[in-house]
Amino acid sequence: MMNFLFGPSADLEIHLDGSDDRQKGDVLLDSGKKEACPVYFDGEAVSGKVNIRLKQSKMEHYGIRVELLGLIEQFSDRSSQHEFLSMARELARPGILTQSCCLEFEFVSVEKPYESYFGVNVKLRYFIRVTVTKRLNDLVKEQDFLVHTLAQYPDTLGGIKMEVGIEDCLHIEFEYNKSKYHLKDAIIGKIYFLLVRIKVRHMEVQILRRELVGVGPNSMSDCETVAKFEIMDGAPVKGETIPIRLFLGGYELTPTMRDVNKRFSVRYFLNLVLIDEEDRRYFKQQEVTLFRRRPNRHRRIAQEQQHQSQSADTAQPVHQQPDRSYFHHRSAHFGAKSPAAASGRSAANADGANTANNNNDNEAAVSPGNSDDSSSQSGESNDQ
Amino acid sequence: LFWQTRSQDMSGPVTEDQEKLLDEALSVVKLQAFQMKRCLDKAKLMDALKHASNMLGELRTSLLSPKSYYELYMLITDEMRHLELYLLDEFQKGRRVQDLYELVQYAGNIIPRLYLLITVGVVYIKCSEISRKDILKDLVEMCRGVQHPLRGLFLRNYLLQCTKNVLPDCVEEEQEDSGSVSDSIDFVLLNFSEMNKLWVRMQHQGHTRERDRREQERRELKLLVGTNLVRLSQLDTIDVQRYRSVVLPAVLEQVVNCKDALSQDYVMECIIQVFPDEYHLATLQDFLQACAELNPAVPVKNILISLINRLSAFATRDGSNGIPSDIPLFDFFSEQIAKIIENKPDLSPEDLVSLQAALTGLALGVYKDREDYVDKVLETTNSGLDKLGRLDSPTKKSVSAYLLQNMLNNGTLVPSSEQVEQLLDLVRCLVADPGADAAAAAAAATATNSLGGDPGDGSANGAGPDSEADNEDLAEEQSLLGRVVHLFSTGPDLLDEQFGVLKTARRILATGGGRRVKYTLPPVVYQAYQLAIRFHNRQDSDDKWRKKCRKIFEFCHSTVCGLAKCELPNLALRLFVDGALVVDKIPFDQHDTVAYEFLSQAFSLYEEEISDSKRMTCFAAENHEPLRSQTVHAASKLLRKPDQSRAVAACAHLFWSGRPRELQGAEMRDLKKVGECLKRAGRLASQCMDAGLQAQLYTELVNYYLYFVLQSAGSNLDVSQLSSTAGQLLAKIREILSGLEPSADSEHIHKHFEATVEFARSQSASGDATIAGLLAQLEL
Repeated sequence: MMNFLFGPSADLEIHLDGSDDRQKGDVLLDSGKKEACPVYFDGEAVSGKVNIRLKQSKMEHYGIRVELLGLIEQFSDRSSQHEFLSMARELARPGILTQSCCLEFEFVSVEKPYESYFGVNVKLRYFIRVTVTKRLNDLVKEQDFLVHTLAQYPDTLGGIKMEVGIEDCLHIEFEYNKSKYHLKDAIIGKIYFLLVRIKVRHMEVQILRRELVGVGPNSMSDCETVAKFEIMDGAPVKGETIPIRLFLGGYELTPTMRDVNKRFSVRYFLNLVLIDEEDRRYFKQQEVTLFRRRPNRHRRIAQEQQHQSQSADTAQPVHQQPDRSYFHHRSAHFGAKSPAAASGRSAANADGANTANNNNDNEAAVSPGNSDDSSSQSGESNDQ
Repeated sequence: LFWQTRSQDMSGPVTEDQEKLLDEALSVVKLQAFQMKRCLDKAKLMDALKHASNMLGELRTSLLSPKSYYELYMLITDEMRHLELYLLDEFQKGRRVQDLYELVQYAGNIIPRLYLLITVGVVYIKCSEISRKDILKDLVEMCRGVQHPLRGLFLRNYLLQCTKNVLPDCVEEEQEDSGSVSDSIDFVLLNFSEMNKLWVRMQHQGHTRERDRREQERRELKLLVGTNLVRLSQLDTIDVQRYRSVVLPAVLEQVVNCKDALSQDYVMECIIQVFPDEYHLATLQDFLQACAELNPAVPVKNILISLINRLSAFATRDGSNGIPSDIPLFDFFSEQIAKIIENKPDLSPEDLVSLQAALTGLALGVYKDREDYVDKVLETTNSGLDKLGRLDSPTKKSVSAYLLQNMLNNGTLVPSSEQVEQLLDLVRCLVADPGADAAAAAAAATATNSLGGDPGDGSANGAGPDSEADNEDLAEEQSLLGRVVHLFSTGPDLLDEQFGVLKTARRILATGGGRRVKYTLPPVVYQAYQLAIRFHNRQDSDDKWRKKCRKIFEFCHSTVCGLAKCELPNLALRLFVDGALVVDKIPFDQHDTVAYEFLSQAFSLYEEEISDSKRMTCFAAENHEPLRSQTVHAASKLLRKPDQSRAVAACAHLFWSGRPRELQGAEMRDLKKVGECLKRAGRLASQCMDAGLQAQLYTELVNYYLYFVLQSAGSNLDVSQLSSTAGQLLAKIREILSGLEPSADSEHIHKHFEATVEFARSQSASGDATIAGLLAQLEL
């Protein structure tokens, strides 16, 4: 406001080091516009320069400060901004600038625990803020950057296999090759029809994104269909097997986020939908974990560090039979509460714990032996 | 566990005019195709793909009939060629679009997605064969997603068309990476079985009352399924070995398991047509085995007949080596046909018989020198037709009649007694009455010589309400059977066996009763006469021929006697007389006594049974005195006076034109006896009570007199006696006629008389003095 009246005394510009070479991603600004910003990973240093171009001959200030902030904003409540990350550096002591200058800054080994996210009701953003403190109106400049959290799961983890049905009407068995997919992955699976007494018109796989913000009575939930993918046309008969192959790379997906800073979760479900000739819809949701796979370069380093023998690059699709006691359940009636939601809750807890553990060492890998998430899911399933 | 919701939108398919729907779809396609091509021209591949996808989206419709859908499909696939050519061009120039194969798979709807995938996949293959094997496998697997029969069939047809020239066609050792012929086989076989399943499934959709329409629609689509087999047949590397071990078993398994009659019928026929004959020969057993397992509704006979015809044609084609001797073609067919009959208890008799008929055709066509094959066919047919016992009698009869007709058409000879027995057993419903079976058989067993028919049979049956139609049918069937008897032939040399055949035939046919033997036994007898003549012709090579001839005539004699006992005197008479004629020509020992016996039998028959004097003329050619007198005697013993009169008058000819052996062929012209006969006839005529009839007889007698008088002209015979008698007759006639009341009869007699007189006048006017003199005595 004051700037508008009197005009700024100087232009501020933030330039992040190596931003020309870095991978870029879109940041959704408050204005609704998208801006391509560089991508950082957890633990990486964030460094850059601040260019101050004076518009007057001199500028008096009470100090120049640079901050690295991580912020969760709920759209419903602008006031409740939550800073989960805040680091600051003093760039200049109070004084008078007589000429334009360039100030360098660096935040070393910044812990960036969460993935940048721009959702329906919530956003999580990282940015650098430069503040030139002045007597009347401070000069402030913000520069967003993106954070990608990386994860790695062994491909041998096993898939999802389940038999579902409506008694004497429809029994199918479906199988997804994995329960955790990286964002450029392809979901490979198949549907086996054990009994078909309804006239199926077509069948599709949907990718659903469920965003849950807040806790308790104030929580807000939003579900969005990210992808609709027809996998079958027409009515199959008993014994048919329908293949599923769904490439994820083309859709706007984020990694699964569970209980981010106890404020929100973003979870993904594969929804298998059958539509019969009378337009009745039968569906079965199954949560899958999405993660951002370490790019090749990173992965190689990580492997060397961990001396792991198995390589995610060459791993074959899993044909290992999942433990039927917890993956495989069968319900003879429909209309009960969504099991996906129930199991999702427990899984979120477990995965959240995992994420927290692994955040420290910059590696989000889950070793095959460390499968406490599955055991807790197992317990949940048995309860059903 | 499924959650179920019902969407608000209930718009179902609206039945609209097909033409309108098709037009709409076509115009969308044309627009999208146009935009696609424009984008390709500008090298905007992504946009072009989007338009292609929109265009292909029209194939998602459920509203079009198969015919309209086909039209739409043709237009769209035609436009898709542009995309394919563009991509090929780009790829070959090295401008390969990264991950295009993955890219097209983002299409949300499966139909456009798979069409695009196939198109791109084939471009990949055409540009580099490295991944050919994997792409083919992937494409055919992914197509499983389309389970809608019509759309699935066309999609898979597109797959088949696009991959037409890129299927690996080499043996395994040559190429490992780009795939070998076994990959092609797997590919086509999988596509085939999936298409067949979809095709079969069409039948079970929708309302049952539209069954016929659906069947019609399915017929229109059958070529799509068959193309798979055509494609297999075009792979050069599929040799007999591979065909037998891989291709055929898979195809047959699919066909048998689908249990659908229409599919089985078509695919089996298709196999026969598209693969080479050598392959069929090598896999005959498997193929026929499968035939035995088909749905009972499948007209297996058509399939087999088609195969038999093809193989027959192959065997007799120019340049072919015939059926290899190590393949017992006939045995295969006959065994398998027997199995089919066994496995299909409800096989219709028509099918059964036409199968056997085809087999007979094969035996006759390919194995000309193996007559025993025909025996085999008859044997199998026999056992198969045992089941006909369950059939109602009209069906049985028509089946048997069909069989016989077929034999006649093919000229199938029955060369042994056993076979005659089998054949007649087979068609026993024609040979004898079903009810009379046991009794007749028993009768036949006890008295072979007396034909065990039931004499009352004919009249009893004639009392039925539809007896006339029955009799007509019977006559038709029995003449057929009679004609078949002529096929009972052992060939030109086996005369003794031939006699055995005839004996068997007689024994069985005799059980038929009077209504039947009338038609069936005469051919046997004539065959026997024929045989006797043949024995005679071979007298040089067979010194026992006399004895054999005698045996034959004895056989004929007993047969004809049997006929006579069945109240068939006319027939028996004729057979005896004809037999006598044959005997006359064959000079075996005592042939005169045999002939005498035949004729005397004829006479006794005549005496007992025949009232028609016109038969008398039959005897005119005979040559024995006793016979002549016997004839006269017989004639005079006729029941009715007018008949007696006429018969005796006719006997006059015997004494005129008979040619006894002593006169060396000259006519005997015994005028005295002639005169006696005529006189006697006159006396008999005078005993008639009816004046009109009397006049008629007298007029006829005058004609006789005139005949003999004219015949004697120029000879030294004295005919005055005759003329005077004739004159007296004329006077009598005039007298009677004058007293006769006018009626149609008397009118007739008048005319006859006038014509006679007129004839006499014309003869006398012709100038012959003797005749004129004679006629003068006739008091004209």
